[in-house]
Amino acid sequence: MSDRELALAIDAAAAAVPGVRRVYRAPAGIGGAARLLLQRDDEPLSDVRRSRATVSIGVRADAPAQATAAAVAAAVQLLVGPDIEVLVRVGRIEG
Amino acid sequence: MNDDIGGSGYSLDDLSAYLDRGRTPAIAAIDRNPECQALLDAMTRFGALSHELVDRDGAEQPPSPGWLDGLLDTVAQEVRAGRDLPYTEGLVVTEGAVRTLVREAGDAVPGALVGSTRIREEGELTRIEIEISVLGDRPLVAVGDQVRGAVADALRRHTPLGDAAIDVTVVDVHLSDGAER
Repeated sequence: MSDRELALAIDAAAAAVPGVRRVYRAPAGIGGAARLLLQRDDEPLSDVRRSRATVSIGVRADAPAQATAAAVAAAVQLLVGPDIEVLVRVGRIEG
Repeated sequence: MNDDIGGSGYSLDDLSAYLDRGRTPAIAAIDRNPECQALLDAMTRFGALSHELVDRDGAEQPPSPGWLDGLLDTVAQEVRAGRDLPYTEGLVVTEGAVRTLVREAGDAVPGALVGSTRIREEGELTRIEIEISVLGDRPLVAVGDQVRGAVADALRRHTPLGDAAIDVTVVDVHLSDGAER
């Protein structure tokens, strides 16, 4: 599976977790703003690079954010396997 | 203010125009950006508030045009993701998400409008500083207490800052005759 395919799978896995309102574009690192601007609309939101996967989520206000983020991390970790470190970032808590 | 919001490539003015167009045609760079979404939601709330004030005070006494614009500029600064605040290893919430949560919890209190929010570290203690306006002839202390309670509940439920000290300062009172004090 390519990094792109894996990132798309992560997007889907995260979005399917109860309490997740939506998956957002994961923040990029150095030079990230330019990279984000160059991304096409159909590209994955999550970021997979080397041994790290980052997923950014918006959590529904009626779901506890930490527990929801933990559920996303568990789902994504299951998907990517133990060799990839998973970071879940709650970017919004949405009413 | 025309800064790029959240690395989206779009400015506050662009977001305002997008909202005016009913968010169509959809722009993925905006719709997939949490900072843009927080700002759009704030614009929607402020628009409703502005109409509410006009309806209540009479069309001849609309809220000061600069007041809501200034508020929006403040929100644009606050929604920036900022630092990652850790829950546990591998799980974080952004400072921008927390500030937005604080603002939305405060705004949900009848008669309160959050002007600014600030998260400060004082050694081991985190302090949340909130400035609010109180709308109408409501008791200031009661509204301030309700804001503090609502924010404390939201922080406990959603963030690692459940033990934070919360200071609420009333900086404006907007009376029902349209006067600002």
